[in-house]
Amino acid sequence: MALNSLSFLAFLAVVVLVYYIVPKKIQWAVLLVASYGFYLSSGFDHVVYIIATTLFTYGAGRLMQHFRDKQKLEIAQMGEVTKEQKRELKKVVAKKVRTVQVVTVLVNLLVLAVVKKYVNFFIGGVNDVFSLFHWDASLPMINLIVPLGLSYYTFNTIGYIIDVGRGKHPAEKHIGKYALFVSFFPSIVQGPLFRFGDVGMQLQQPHKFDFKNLTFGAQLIMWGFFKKLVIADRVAPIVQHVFSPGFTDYNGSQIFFGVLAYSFQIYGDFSGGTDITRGAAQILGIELPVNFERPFFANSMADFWHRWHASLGAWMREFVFFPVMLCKPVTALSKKVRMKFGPHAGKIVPSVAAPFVVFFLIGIWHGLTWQYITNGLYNAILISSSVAFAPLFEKMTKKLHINTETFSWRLFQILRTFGLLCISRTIVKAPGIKEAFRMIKAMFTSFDPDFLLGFDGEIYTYGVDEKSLWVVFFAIMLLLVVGVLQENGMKIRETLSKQNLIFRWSLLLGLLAVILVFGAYGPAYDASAFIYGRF
Amino acid sequence: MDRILEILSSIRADIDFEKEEKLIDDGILDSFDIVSIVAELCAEYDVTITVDMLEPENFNSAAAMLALVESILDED
Repeated sequence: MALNSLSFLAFLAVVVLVYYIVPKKIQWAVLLVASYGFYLSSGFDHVVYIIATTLFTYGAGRLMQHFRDKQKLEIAQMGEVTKEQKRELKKVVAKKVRTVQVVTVLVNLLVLAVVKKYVNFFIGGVNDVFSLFHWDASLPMINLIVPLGLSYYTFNTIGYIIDVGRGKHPAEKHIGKYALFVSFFPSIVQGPLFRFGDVGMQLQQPHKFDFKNLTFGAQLIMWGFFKKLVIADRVAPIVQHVFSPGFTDYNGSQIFFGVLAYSFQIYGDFSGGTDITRGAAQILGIELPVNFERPFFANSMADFWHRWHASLGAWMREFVFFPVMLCKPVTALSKKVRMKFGPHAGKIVPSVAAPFVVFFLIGIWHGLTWQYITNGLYNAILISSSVAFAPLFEKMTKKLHINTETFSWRLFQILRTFGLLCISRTIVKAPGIKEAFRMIKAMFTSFDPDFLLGFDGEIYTYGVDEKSLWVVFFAIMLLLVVGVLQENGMKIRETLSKQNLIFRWSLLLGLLAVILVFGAYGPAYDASAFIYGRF
Repeated sequence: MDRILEILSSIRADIDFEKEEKLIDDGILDSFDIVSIVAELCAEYDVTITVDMLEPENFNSAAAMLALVESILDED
């Protein structure tokens, strides 16, 4: 059941109705049944994985909790204990907890690696070596069904295991309530990622019907449909056209047109889907983390990653970035460098080490291909160098008498970041890694502005006609205007709710009409094709 | 307190650590600063600050950081 389908809206309406009718103490059970119902609609085979993950991580959490509870009991029974004895006991328990934590995380990651065919990357490598030496042998590839939302619930459960291990919250006792945390239906398709201590607890709490949540949630869903249907799905043919094999026929401006289209397609698709998810959850009284904060307005790559897929960024910061930065070798090296070369040099050590690990992982999270790995390294280099060269950039702007507190400077930063992102998008979207480099080169060497301005009319032959392109243009303008208002602190839905009834409804019905009239539908339309659903 | 202020100033001389009380909430310190601060505090006070202690309330001000260090020393 696709999030942008009528069947999903009907399903949501039924769930909402039942959810608010039943006694509050069993609302969580309604969500659990609905989540498994939703999940079953994607195929019976898929459910096996989510049940296995739920049981395994639930058991691991309970085991860690058992060690902790036993430790407390032992300390209580010991009566007078010295600090030394207490510390020793804690050390023993911490070791046991850590073992469970590490094994559970590794098993979870192994399942992800096998099911998502990451293992095939290595099997392919081994087979290449065999053929290099003309050995008559090859390892078979593993091809399993990739269950819906595998990466999302795997990351959520890993977060849960680490949090329980760190003692941030106790392990959940109720298997049903824990199963709901793993499978919550609106977010299972493409996130956002969330923590048990936040969303997991919200899911268990009783929720009263709130008209504001209903209207705000419905508006967010509508905005998500607008982004997905009027922008992402409308520009999709351009992307398909430009990034299909045979790109060599295109010049730089044609490729740039494709990259531009892809930038809006991926944003409309992913953030639109997230809006639908967050809106659906809001109607149920659940507040999911914000995943996108107007990434087109980012003024640096680091800023972009705070705004784009923010829940994955937060996950990486908490469970990869800080642990890497605080591991003994990195801190020891950082300290040595700081003592010898000053505070900035000390900052460079972790700033180089951690982004490479984080972006390598983000890269392979999307897929274990050379394109995603290269893109991860590209982002890591940009972010590391922005920290390393920060003092140099500051000196340069001072020397050139550039006022960095102006609109023009901010605009320059935004356009520079967008340019860097276009390169990143090309790396992952090109048919192959070699083609990606050739496409990037073409964008710098053979640029034809006439094409982009539409003078020769060729721009309308890329799967989207003139009328459709104007629709997309105005839709993107609307998106950017809303973005500017939000950047200036306006809370759109709050502001709208304070307007007069006629104005408010005119706007909402207008947006609905735009979606119905200009949304990309048709016989070839595939409502299930959310790009990030496959991750 | 003076020592901790000295450490913090050696890492970010541009911040008035005596006054600031929302170093994390207001985004004044970035992730890289936090790591440098943690490394310095661990070395100076001979304590271990673990990842699970990286909560905003522990790093929003110099006083909060000192309180964190003292609580670890107490625990030991």
